[in-house]
Amino acid sequence: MTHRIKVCQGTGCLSSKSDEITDLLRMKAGEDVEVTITGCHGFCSQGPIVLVDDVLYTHTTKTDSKFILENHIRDGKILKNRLYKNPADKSRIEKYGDIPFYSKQTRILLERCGNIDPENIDDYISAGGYQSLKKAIELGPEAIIEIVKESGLRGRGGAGFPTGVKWEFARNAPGAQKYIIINADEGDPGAFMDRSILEADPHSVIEGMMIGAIAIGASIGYIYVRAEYPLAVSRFRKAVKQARERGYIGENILGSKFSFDIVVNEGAGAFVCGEETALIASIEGKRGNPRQKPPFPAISGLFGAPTNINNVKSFAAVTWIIKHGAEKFRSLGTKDSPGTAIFSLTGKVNNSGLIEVEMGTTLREIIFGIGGGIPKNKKFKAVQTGGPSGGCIPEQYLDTPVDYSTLADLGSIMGSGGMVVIDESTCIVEFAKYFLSFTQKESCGKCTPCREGTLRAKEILERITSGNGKLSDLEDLSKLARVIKTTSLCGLGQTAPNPVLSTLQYFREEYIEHIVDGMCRAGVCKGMFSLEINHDVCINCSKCQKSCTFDSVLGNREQGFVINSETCEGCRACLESCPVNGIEVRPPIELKVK
Amino acid sequence: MLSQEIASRYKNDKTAIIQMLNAIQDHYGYLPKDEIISLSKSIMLPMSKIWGIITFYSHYKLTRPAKHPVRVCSGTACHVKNSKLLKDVFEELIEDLPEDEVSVESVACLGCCALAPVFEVNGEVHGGMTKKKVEELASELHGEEMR
Repeated sequence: MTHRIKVCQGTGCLSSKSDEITDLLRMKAGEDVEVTITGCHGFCSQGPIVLVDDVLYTHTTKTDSKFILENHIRDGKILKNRLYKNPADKSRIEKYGDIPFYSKQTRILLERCGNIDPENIDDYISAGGYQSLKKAIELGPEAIIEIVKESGLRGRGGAGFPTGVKWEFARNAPGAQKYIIINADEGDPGAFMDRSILEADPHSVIEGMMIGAIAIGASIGYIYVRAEYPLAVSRFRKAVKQARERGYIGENILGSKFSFDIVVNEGAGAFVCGEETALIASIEGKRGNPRQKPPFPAISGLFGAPTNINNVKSFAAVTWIIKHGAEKFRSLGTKDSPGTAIFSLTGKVNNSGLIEVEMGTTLREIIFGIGGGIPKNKKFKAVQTGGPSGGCIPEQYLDTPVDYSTLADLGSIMGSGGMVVIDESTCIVEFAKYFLSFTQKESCGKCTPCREGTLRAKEILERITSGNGKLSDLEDLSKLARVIKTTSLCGLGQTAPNPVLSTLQYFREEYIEHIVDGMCRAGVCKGMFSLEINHDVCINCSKCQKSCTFDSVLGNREQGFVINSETCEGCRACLESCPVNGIEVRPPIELKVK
Repeated sequence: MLSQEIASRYKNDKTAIIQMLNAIQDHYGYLPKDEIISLSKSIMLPMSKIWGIITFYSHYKLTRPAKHPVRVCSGTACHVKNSKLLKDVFEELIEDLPEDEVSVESVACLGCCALAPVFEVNGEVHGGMTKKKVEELASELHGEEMR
């Protein structure tokens, strides 16, 4: 029997040297073993991931390559200590499909991610690839648009506009030359959905884009991808080259009248270029300033021609829909938002990674079912969706089924799919400041509300988190946020205040605590708390001392430990390392006189 | 001039200016002034326009990078794991080194969230940073300079 070893070479696993593991395996493997690489499995926190047939190994090292070949392949003995450890009951799980992180997902767009070699088109073709393109050529534009409309697919970039309707606009717009663009300018910090798909399954995106091109009548397609994603860029370029060699891209594709070519366009580090009009300006070689809409890009877009822009995930979904039919897509998800949603689940969860669930899955199921809950029995505080454009959702709404409208009702957005879980050790005011500082820095400066408003709002938040806030700041802040939201030119400004508004709504008492008591209960804001070891629960394990970034834990295992408040910088490493939650956040030692 | 060669690769098409600048920066690690002047002539785009583009996009650098560039990730995961505090500590430790030797900058998410907090030194990822590791790194870099 031949064995197949698949080594993950996504950005996460590569950074912990999975390429060297691959080389070692290739060097030493016998002829009955096939060693291939794959893209991201989505389970980055467990990397480097190595799949031997259907057994999943986590945290593998270079030395493990020897054990995999000798113990597993030769002797049939599984390496128990490298199997996934279920945080719930500490049991080891062998099979890929038995791990709750995977078994609770509905992976339709991510199906091939981690299973095929993204640098080999034959892998994609033998997994049924380019069948949808063949079908689409036979169907013709009108039928394609009809199917996509029928499927109810909504734009996966975040705004949720129906894709089929968007295509129809572009198709009906007059113009001989039309363009289609993949928006892969994934700029949200903590989000890596698009990057993972491009790294793991680039052909599915190419195929979806070409189906879109047939539908709207475009002959040239662009991908606009962040320069910060070198691996995604090189895998996509390789995929385009291979598809061209096989005749899937070029003149008279598959013997039809359809001709198409793809241009890879790298960005240069501007978050605002994720906005479609800014993105178009950037491809045209200009500063990435957004402009007023209408005219919409479907009428006048790239170089003034009708242009259609979709997110990476939307195109991948189109490939699936054409293959499996609109009805099957509609059978997933909710009535309003059919299909699946892809999230990058990060922050304070046990299983962080890339996940795909049906629309309408509850936040609780995502965070506690798939995510495995909060590490170290800490208390859940909020989940932040939609990155810097989204909001924080508190515990009482955990049973909300996730889709475009329910999240909007809660003051957040679906966004592109970032989902950051925070626990009691994250200060909500500082968290809002973090996101607002991001949008403030990335504001292009064209319109006043966004340029000036985000700066002033950031100043207020800086005041509050440094202990100099006034109660009137809260009123000013929400007023300012509303002005920015309603009067900004583009989506960046219109959504920038969401983190502030949602935290003001759900966590107002924490803002007030900062202002009135000069206290940060999470123990984050400098000078607004002190740390103390609770000797009733302390087990003298010395973990806090070892972890302290600033050597501020004094004492030893015999006599016990104390925190030296004079040298403590408040790095909170002790809080994180304590196995019994024995370190308490207390009011600051020198209470400020108000 | 490299810029002429790059410009002709894009048929002197000024709409490809961003791709051209990326290529020049990939080669030198920054955008040298004479290359930009020559590019401006090749594609007939005024320097003022090119300047507007360079200063808009955060990717572009106008000065030669240090021998050992250190990039500290400030993505959400690293942020909650104190990357900012560690960066402050590191900056203090290497203050005495010349600017062209070691540079420190904050960068947006490096995509290795599972390894947070992350420093990238000479293009190599160092995960799970602590004060101790930062001190080791700083003394290592001091050693380099002595050589």
